[in-house]
Amino acid sequence: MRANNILISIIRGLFIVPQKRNVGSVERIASAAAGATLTAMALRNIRHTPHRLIPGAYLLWRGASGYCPLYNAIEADTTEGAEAFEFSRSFTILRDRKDLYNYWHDFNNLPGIMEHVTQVAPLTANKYLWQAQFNGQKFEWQAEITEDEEYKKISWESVDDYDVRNSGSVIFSDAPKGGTEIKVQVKYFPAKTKLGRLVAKALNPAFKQMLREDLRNLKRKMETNEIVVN
Amino acid sequence: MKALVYEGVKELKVQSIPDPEILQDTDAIVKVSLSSVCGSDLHLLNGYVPTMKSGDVLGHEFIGEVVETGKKIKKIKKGDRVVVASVIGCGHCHYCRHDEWSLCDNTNPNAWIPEKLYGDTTAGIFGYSHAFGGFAGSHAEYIRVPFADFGAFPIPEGVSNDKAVFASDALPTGYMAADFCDIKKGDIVAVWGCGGVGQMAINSAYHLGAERVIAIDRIPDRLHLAQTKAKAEVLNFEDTDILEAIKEMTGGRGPDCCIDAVGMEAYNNGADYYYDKLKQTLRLQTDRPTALRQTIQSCRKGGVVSVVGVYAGLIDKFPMGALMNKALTIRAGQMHAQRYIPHLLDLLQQEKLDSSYLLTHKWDLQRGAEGYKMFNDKKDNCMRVVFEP
Repeated sequence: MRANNILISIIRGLFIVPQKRNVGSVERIASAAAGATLTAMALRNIRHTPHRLIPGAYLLWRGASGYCPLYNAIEADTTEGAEAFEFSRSFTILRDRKDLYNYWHDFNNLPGIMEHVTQVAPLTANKYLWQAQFNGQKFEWQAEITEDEEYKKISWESVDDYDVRNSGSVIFSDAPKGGTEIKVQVKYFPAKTKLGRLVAKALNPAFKQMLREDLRNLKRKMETNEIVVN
Repeated sequence: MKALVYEGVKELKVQSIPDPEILQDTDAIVKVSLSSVCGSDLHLLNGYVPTMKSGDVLGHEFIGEVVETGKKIKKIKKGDRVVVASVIGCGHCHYCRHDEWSLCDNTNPNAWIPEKLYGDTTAGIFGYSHAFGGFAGSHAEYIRVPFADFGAFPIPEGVSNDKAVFASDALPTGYMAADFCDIKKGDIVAVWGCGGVGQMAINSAYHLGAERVIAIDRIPDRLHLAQTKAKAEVLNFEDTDILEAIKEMTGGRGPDCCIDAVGMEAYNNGADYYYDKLKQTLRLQTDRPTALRQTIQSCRKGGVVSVVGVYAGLIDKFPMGALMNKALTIRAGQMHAQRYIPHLLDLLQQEKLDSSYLLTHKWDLQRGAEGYKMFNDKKDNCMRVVFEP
């Protein structure tokens, strides 16, 4: 990214209310402490050099908010376990957008096409308990529907404090020669340890392949009403 | 039931394995009456197509009797004598609906393998390695046919088993090769390879209006059949400079269409054969493309090169300059059996085409390994061994 763009991002970042944190807790304390010292020093000569307040104030704000516009601009993140893995996969399926949306929206259908998902049980109107099995290990998480645009898009986000933290969306759009283009974007956050990050990195290609196979199963099911076996 | 099982490179054995069962509502079980060897099996048997596993059943060209049908089967019924397309098509995806059945999106359970190799998946094929779905093949007493309403076709009265069996693969493949050529009045077609597919390509080219067909091989009895049964003008590449001879036979122009019915295990007596064989043995290329090079070199300017001989991976020394500068069109593919079979059964019934002469040996499946060896070594004038399980 060019230096100009980074600068613009920083300036823009200073004027928005931070939506997320990207500074780790140790770094936040250090940032706040350094900011406080610089501010105290600048206050002594505030009449002659008021501009010296800026760096201190910035570091204080950064420490207090846990958000760094520079990190955001260069896509860095030092919060514990915050390194998110993100990927997307698209498939064209010869069925109406409506049918596909309805099929996906009935979450009971998903274990039928997702190899590792064993059950999706509704908890409230918008919240579901997901259960999955991977290499004999059971996982579960709760996810909330965060966006539901009829026949177009469904987004979800996992509720905090579960093994599997993820968010994503599925977008349905008309394919130019008939059928529907379905695009699934998934973002997941590995466990909050270094090991968790390493494991997630190693498994990332497998997750991508899993998503591809799950979507392929959806295509098979929706086009032929069967998932072919040999 | 008994089945001819692949145990390793060049190793086949008749074994007793469990009978197939209906696994999905659109399946049928067919009791195999005839099951043919195919040149493409040799690529599997000789170890040039990866993803074969010990225990796989070979065979993809077959006919038989429907003995069981899944709940959703509508078009065929128990007792029907059927010919089954060697490629499996779901009948519902974009490609099947556009009659491009070998490109089916949905019938390969191992779609990820061709996706890695070729950038996208292809249809499943019976008995044709795990890259093509890992389906059990037809060299067995019974076979499970998925999507049977789309892949199994009742054989009309008057078409013998010996003819119908080749409507499963060799005939539609040869026919598609000729169909790719878009033959016009006065066209000259040249066919490399006079095995089953090549013979059917010669017949089909004439049927579709070719003025002359030139056939190239090195095995005398295959050339003899091409000449007597299919009326081709024949060239033996062991004693003829093919490029020179073809130019002379076509007024210096070259054939309008050149068909490669040879594929990845091509043979010739030139230095390039040994070059390719060495590179293939060292795994520096997977396929030997000597026939393909000749089709491109021989073809007239603006002509069509039609490739139905099977290639699996990478080739070397591909004459891209000739292809580009002579403005050739190259068309290729595994055949879209379901598109052609009904029409071809009609042509067989009306005796406008004959496929029965491909059948040179009809043997018990018990002699399967011996049959493949004879076919591979091109002994005893063997064009096709067909097994009766």
